[in-house]
Amino acid sequence: MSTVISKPNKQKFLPLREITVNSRPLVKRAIQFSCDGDLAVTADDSVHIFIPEFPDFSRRRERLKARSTDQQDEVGANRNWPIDHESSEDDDDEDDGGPRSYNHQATRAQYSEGSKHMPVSFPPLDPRVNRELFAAQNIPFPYEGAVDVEGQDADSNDDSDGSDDAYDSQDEEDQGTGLGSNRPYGAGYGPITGVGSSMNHVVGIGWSPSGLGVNRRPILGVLTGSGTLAMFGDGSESANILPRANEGMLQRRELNSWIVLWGVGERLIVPGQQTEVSEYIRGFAWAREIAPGQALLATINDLNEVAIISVQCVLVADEDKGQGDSAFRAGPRENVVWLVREVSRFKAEGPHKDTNQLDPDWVPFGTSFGLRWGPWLHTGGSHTCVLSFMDRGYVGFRKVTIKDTWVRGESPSLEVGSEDTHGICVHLSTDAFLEFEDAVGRRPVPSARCLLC
Amino acid sequence: MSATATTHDWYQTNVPPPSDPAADPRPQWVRTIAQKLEVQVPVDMHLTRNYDDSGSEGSESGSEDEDEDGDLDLDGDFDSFAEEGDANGSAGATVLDIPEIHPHRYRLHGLALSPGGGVTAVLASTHSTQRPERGGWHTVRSSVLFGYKPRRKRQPRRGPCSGQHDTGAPPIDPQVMDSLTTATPAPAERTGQYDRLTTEAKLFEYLYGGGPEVPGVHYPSPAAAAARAANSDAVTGAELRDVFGPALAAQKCDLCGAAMDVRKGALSGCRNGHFFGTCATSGLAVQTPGATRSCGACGLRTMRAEVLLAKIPKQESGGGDDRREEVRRLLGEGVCGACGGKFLS
Repeated sequence: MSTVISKPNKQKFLPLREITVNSRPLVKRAIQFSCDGDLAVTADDSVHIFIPEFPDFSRRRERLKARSTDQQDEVGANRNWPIDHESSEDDDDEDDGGPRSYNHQATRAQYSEGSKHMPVSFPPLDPRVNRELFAAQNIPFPYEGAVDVEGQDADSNDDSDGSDDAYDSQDEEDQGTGLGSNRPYGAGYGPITGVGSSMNHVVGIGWSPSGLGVNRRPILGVLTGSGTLAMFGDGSESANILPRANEGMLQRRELNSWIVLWGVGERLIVPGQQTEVSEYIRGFAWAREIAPGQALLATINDLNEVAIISVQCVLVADEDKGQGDSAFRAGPRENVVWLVREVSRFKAEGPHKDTNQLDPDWVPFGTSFGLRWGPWLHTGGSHTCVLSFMDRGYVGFRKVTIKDTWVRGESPSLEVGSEDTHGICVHLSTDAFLEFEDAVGRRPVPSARCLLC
Repeated sequence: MSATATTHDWYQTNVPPPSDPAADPRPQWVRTIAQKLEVQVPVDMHLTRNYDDSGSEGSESGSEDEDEDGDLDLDGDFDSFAEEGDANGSAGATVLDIPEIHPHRYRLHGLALSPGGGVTAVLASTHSTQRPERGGWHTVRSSVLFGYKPRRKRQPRRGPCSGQHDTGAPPIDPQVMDSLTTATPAPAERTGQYDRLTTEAKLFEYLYGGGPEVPGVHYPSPAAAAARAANSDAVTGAELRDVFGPALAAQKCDLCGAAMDVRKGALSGCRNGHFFGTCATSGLAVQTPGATRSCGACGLRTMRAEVLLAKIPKQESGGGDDRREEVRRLLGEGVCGACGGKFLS
């Protein structure tokens, strides 16, 4: 048995090796793990997604199960399984694969396959990506005029239905070739970003908490330089796995079905928001996991207004499904419906007034990473946490409470404190950030810790 | 943030050092970058040979013709170095006086921690210390580097089906856990932190973060689903299996009508030799194509919720609509019955 132990352990698992990507980000905090080990890496105008591939332990499980049933009585007598016994089993398992699988694995590494390089800057998001959000809540879609001309040149739209927002009126004046109605315009009230858009580089990425999207997978929020936040994730298509798994591996997800689910920002309003208001989103943050299919999203715009958006993903049974359950059906029986609604908005202000930029004492400030959610404190049926935000020289913490149990599919009863529970005046540089620890200390009072930089 | 050869403390951590003093406490990516930063080449070699791979010009003569500004300055520097060498050096020993330079520096664009805290990933790009960068979006490169822990040695378990992971050892990387202990000193909260991870995250943690084996993935564990459901509801995964007990006993082979009472590995079949895959949640034989969803963490298949609901015996549902609703909700949560993992499709 000792020879078995001394045998070199063959690499059955994919190693983690360096990955080279053909891009370089323009911002900080450009890499993020999801709750499932998916890796998102920002580039200047795109996002790389890497999906892990997991080894297949089914043979080992079967062996253990068979042994447990065979030697049921021996388990009681011999409580501790010898280590060498187990490792010999494992070596047998690996030897079964033969040299072919070994050579195959030697050239591969984790994340080496199944990555996706998604362009996110161009073309800019069409406002119609949010149309289903309105349809799901039976609210008329405010940009219906733009939707009518789907398929033809959107610039020929004469706005006969009276949509008088800036989106359509600008649309008639500047006819971008090939861009149609989707040309990036300025948004918000910044001196530059208000009138024109940048090259729309990626500003920030954020994985949603676990359990939100299709198959309980997280979705990815990508904030770009034109102030729009796009959510990427699995569509409702089911054909997103490899037809065949690699040897010794489980089937891996494919990102073929990844689509833009919806967006937030200028012209990408969600139910509960105003079309007349221009909004340039400067930062966003996902609340920590609440329940499957439920999440809260906070965005902050260039006027330091924090909007809290409830995000839910519900599965609605397909209406035209067959009655007999024994019928041969292969397609998905459920449609994914996103219920997105702005539930609260407050002005996040500190005590410091913005001075003139020509003032010699003026220092630049601006961050996309100041908005963060603390960990949830569960008391009774309610959830409470603090939401941090940053203004010039000020970090504020606002208490957010979900009062009752949040039934899936309904709006949460959210209570946002009217003033900050805590505030710190501190010099903040550009790209200042704040991160909460994912733990609630309970003694002496419930408290959360965060890191401010 | 930049990591250069002259900033020796570019990597700082408050993670306590490991118990083994001989081990290098730095993650792998720090070691990789530090090694690259320590590289030194003679300055003339660097200037003539395009030592860094970012430059695209070929030889020295070629670059002199094509770019005036960049290379002329550099050549000027080189000449001054050489003259200095001649002035200082004794007879013929000019080779020794050619200074050595560090050709690389790194910029770090982000650092991420895996959900269980055992793996770090950093996005870094390498740059030349000597010449300005040329090119555009088509030449830039960056690298994702990892820091990971060795996998745990196989630990003796008390029976393969016990479904209990050892609570003696800290479930997450001990270094990270040590840093957490000041906030959450209770051991119960330590395991709570780990239990909140998804099955995929636990598996990732096992593979690369030095985490323990994952119940339901590494060894069959009917308690895994129960543990998953227990934090939200009264009906546990074990009870869920009990719901399907009558259906399991009564199920017949669709092909020949015989009772399905033969188990062969992962298959269940009838005595006439018709074998089918087994649903991980209910233990029923999967006799309908397209009725299952496969798990991305353990590979087992679970029947779709509506198919399973139809299999619940009617008398069971007559016992109370609440219970049926409860079961429906549990099934509809859409996690694998064996390991709590997420479905692929």
